[in-house]
Amino acid sequence: MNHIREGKEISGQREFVRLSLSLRIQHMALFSSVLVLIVTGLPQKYAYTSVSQLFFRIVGGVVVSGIIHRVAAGVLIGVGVYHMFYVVLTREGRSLFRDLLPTLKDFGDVGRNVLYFFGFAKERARFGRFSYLEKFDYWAVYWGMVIMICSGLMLWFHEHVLQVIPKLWLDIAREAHSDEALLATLAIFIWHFYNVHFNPSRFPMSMTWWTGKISEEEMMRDHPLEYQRIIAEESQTVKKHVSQGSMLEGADTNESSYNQEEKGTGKGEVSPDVSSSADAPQIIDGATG
Amino acid sequence: MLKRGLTAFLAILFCHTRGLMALGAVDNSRCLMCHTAPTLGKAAKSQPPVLYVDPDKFASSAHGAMACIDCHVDLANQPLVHKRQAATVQCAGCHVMPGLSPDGVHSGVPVGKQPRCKDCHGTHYVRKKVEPGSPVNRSNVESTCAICHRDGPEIRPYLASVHARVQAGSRLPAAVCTDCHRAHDVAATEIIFACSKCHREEFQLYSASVHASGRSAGYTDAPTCTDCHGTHDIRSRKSTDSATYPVNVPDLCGECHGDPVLQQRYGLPSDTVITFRHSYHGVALEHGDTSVATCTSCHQAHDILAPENPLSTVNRKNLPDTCGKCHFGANENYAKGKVHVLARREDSLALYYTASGFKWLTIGTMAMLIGHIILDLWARVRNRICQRKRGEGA
Repeated sequence: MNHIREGKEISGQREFVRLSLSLRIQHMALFSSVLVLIVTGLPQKYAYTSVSQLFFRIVGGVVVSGIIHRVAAGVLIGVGVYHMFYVVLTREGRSLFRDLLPTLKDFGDVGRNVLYFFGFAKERARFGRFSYLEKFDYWAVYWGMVIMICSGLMLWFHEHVLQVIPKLWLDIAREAHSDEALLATLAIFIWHFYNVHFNPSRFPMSMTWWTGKISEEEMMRDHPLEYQRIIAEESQTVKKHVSQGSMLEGADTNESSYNQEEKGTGKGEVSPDVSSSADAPQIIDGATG
Repeated sequence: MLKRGLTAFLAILFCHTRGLMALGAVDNSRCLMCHTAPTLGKAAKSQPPVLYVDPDKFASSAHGAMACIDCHVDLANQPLVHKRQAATVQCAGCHVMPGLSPDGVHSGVPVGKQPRCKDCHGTHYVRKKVEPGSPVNRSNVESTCAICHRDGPEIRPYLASVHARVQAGSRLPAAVCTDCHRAHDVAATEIIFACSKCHREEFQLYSASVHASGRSAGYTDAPTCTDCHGTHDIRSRKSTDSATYPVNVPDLCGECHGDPVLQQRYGLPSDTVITFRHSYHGVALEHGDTSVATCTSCHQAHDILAPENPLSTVNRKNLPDTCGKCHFGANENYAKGKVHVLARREDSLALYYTASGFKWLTIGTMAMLIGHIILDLWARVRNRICQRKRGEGA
């Protein structure tokens, strides 16, 4: 882990865009609606606890909390639908989706990390754009959204639903809604929060959800393969530009790679592409050595 | 009724005739010569001024046309200035009360403390009960009974009851003490019949119920009016502290239906209360939505029937109609699946497997995720230690 500490000393820190503005807004809408849903939903699951009594007294009863729950559910469904369009219709979304699909390497990474945890491997798995941790989070939300939205809509429109299906199915929907709620809550507050808050290298919080960026140091540590890919792509672009004699324009635009951005730290100076990519091979050596 | 009226008529006729006859012998005015002196009663120390008689008030009383000696018969032959104290007046001499039961609750009171006619009706100024000033007028019955029962367990709760409150508003006649307990033969009455005097419709509905048939078969555990509604402290079901207020209904029914002893004795299902509490209706009711169904919404309040009875509102055949009272367009789908249901093997296999599937999914997933977190932390700590050692070594 030496390279993490050394990483901090690297001057002129580059930052990499991990989450586009669209994704950040999607994530904010997702987590705020989910938090509201958890806060208004769990007191119903555990209706006979003192916390639940207190909650309903503060909110003003189950009717009010039910309205809040449904409003938040509307936001959640909105995000879900928007994300479907985003994933299908935008280039950014399609790329994101492709990179989040599970691959054989992910299973290998899990095995490698487990070996590392038990001291049988020298290093952690090296991740690309998304690690298996992040992919798990993403697909867990898919699973959760399908269960929660389907069962939730059944409960919401129970009178319409009961026109066509027996009450038993509604009971099953209620049970699934209640049980999946607990699973999702635990996964968020334990797994996701460990990965983005309580993990010693993130504590107290990764700011990526707000800025959308991660530092070069974090990029090298957590996504070394992606980092290498970007650097390689950049140097190729530079070479291409050089060979075409249009290096200056190339340095000013970021069109070559949508998911990167650069920024001087504090001083407002913009360091050209070329300089950082020139540094890159050394850093990677330092990181892996 | 006719017999009673006739008796009263004869009694009045007899008394008044006696009064007229005595007029010559002892005129009231002769008695009042002394008994109008305000100081008369006070002379006899520690005695209330019972010896004083207000002639106008007496004249306007129910007995105003009667002579003093009609009641104080023992003084008829006494000299005008009589030394002897008047003997206890025997009202029964005229007021023959066939209903006056020796078994009444008051006859159980120790001798000497038993209430007498005058304790409720007064003495010289007896008024008919229809007169507002009468102590036995409906509006005064409670305070008349309270003379003795002031500190008992009855009056105070009664004053807070719906019967007392409507009475105070004087829009509708509400029950006073004597309506349920009767006046002269005050007794521990069969309460159903006391209530049914006014609440006829409810009584009829109740009479057909499974509770009533249990009761009439001699099972005193079966509830009657007061078991649910209370006795002296009966509240409106709209009042939040009423046992029949919707939010309190599951507790009320649960007193018997949640009691393992009674469940076993009468073969009642053991989980009706707990299944209700965990249903959406139960949860919403607990947290302030009084519009949801409680026990009585589906099972009815007074005419509760066993679910096997085809007339029962909770008979599977009738469920669509019953659910349809609240749920728009309820159809036979509402009756498919157990109503009082928990995710238990014996209730519903589908529900049970859903719940246990999720349980093991949650346990499995969280074990993996938490295991991963712990291993990750462990690896970090181990790394830190190795680093430090390496640092020290160098």
